[in-house]
Amino acid sequence: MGFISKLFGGNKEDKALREALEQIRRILEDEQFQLDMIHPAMKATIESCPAYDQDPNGTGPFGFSETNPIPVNGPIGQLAYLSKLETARGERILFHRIGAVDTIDVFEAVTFSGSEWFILFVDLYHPRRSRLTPDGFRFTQEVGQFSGFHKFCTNFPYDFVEMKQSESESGLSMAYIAISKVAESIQNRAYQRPLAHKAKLDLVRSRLTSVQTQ
Amino acid sequence: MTNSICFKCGAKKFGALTQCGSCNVMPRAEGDLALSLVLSEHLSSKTQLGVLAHEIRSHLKLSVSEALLHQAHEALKDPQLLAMLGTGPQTATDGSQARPAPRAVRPEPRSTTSSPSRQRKRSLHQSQLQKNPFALLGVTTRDDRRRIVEQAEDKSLELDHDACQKARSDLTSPRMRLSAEMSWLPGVSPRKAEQFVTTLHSDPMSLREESGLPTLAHLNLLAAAFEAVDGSDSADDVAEFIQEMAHLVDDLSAEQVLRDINEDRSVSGFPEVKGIEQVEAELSERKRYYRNAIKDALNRLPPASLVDAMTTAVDQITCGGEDHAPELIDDLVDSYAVETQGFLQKEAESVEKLIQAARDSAKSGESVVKPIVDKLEAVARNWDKVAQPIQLSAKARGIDHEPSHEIAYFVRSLAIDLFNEHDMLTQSQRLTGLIQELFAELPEVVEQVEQDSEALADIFQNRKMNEAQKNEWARDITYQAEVGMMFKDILSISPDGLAWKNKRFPLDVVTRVRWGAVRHSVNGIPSGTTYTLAFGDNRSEAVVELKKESTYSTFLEKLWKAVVIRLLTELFETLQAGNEVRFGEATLRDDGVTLIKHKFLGANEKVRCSWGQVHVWSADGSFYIGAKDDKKTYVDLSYIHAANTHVLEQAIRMAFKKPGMRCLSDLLH
Repeated sequence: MGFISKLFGGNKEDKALREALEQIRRILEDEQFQLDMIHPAMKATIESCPAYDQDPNGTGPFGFSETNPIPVNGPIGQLAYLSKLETARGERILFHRIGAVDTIDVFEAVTFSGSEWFILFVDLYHPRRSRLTPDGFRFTQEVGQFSGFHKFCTNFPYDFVEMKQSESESGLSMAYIAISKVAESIQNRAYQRPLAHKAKLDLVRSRLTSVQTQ
Repeated sequence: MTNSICFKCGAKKFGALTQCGSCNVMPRAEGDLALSLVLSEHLSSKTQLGVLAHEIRSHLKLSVSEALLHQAHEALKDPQLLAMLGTGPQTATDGSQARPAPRAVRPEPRSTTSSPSRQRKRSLHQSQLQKNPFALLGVTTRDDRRRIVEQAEDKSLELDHDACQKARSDLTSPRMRLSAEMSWLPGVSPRKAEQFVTTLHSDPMSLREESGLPTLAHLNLLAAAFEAVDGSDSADDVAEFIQEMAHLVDDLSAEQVLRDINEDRSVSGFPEVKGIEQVEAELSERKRYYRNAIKDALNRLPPASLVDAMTTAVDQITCGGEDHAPELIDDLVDSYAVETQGFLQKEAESVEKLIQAARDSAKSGESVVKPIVDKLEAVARNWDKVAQPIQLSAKARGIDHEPSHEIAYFVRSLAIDLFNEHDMLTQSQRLTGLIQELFAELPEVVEQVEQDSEALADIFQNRKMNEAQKNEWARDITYQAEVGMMFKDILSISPDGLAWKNKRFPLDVVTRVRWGAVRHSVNGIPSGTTYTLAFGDNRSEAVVELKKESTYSTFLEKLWKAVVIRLLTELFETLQAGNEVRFGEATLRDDGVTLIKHKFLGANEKVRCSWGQVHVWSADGSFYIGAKDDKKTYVDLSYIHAANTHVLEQAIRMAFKKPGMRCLSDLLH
């Protein structure tokens, strides 16, 4: 910080940087702030829904089934929650939204290294995000900078850089992970979907009630 | 979505494990799921898919590599995929979804669509599974000899002593033990097996929702649940149940069973089963037991439901007779065929009797035949309803069901005779339609009857057209007019004939017609025209004098269509037959005409001319035929006074228009 302060000429810039970082922190972690960022009508709908960690009537594996989705607080909450997940091996995930089964959003995810692929089901109509993780996941201790998108990526995850740039208008791009975190895997073409995952994608796509396109 | 082909019908579909849009089949058994993955662009190229689709449609052996199938089987171990297919663990509470998938993938549980009969609670206490030595003694497949003996002693105090001792003997004798093991729940953990037996007591039908079980154990449970089927179960539900069993029986693997049994034996201390032949022999017994369990269940249904359940099961599982059925279904149909043979034979005899009755009474007319055909239709429908599963199965196996064939041909023969010999088109068409409807599963019959049906439809159509043409002709020639200033007389023409005053000539008897008009004038001033029309037969003639031109011309137009065309045709035919026809002084032959050479002095001479030597013209109300090279050689025929002059003129002028004409009858060719 000191170095940066000097570079920008003293306290004034220091303060601006602090404010920017605070802004990022709020985007990433402050559930109320995340709700405030969305359209008031949607916010009202979300706030009227129950807050819980898991649907008490949910059936099937938590987060892996549309009948037991992960409750989160709106679309920014989706990004925040999924970006906080890491596998038991300590790998975080890249993700994008492929569509929805009724009101449940369906995300495709892959670890940063490309070693594991997932289909996750998320319900954004809740005032807060779940404190539980799907089986095989835990919350990362790192800062959960965004590592995915609540829109469809045509060439997921190889188009991560382009997609991140496209978020500049939304003001979220600064909350995203550094490209260097995945650049090597992208360069090495490390992301190859396994057969089981492809079969899952087929199945889930056949069930989608709305399909996301760019 | 991924391009794929259906493992069942070879049709193109999107998504490897999705339902086929053509045959509506969804892969459920593990083998079908693995094959479906191979039959997708995930594992095969477009060209390979084309070849595989052809192989499926042609019922050829699939050229699928073992390596790809292995890859597919590995993929099917993915817990989330299994959960999506409805075959994997359903709750997250025990963290089980992270573990490898169960060994076998079973038909999709359909708890959300459970039929009322599945929801109906019932209990079962005396199924074969509950009488199994393991169940009787309360021991597990992993218990050793000592434990079995102890349990047998304990149980003897509360149960039948002999039964307990026999159970002990069955479980401790290596030879008998295999049979007990295979009729138990091999590959299922003892704790789970105990739960299943409890469920079998309290809610046997809920076992149908189970998935992920080893195939043999699953089948033993379902066969036990089948013992709970009763007369209030719906035919559709029983049919579905039969199909679930049939698919599982096809998935049975002796190797898998052997592995499961030896796994438990290694724990219990009993010697391992060495040869797979013993397992295969026991599996044959098991299959017989499954078939009998289903048969017994079917026999508990009302007769109509029994037939419906069989028909639905065979129809759905063979896609309407297009695909091979699983082994169990074929076996079931074979025993169904044996059991229904007596009924079908009796009904076939009734059909034959009714066909004979219809033939015998055909001479009495359609009104007598119709009620017999009504009865025949009812009996044939009844016959077909019962024979339907057998017909579908025969079609799926590529063979003919001979009794159906015979009945179809008997009925067809009646349909043909009713039409050919008695002209009963309606009844014949009705029977043909009936055969097409009832015997759609017999390709040869269908093809033959389709031809019959088309022929009858053509005849029917032609008749309708002829009728229509006849009606149109009748309209065209019908005319009636009042003639006379003071006293009106009726001049008429219609299909019934020509009539004037009290004379009436049917159209067919009219042999002569003539007509013409004479203009009158007084001192060069026109004073009107008289129109003359005459028609008659060889004996008499009616002559009509008219003043109104419109009546004259309209009547002539009708007369031309009704009579002149026929007279023309008859003239040509007479000449073609080598006969001569006289018109006034002219004698007509097919190849020429005899004219008169008019001499100033002396008698006139007859001159025979070919048609190339004469020409024709009209003058002074007459028709002339003259020699081209001699003006004196000719005949004249008055239009108004000589019969059929107009007919002759028309014949000659028409013939002259034909290039290279030598005979008048050339026109007929």
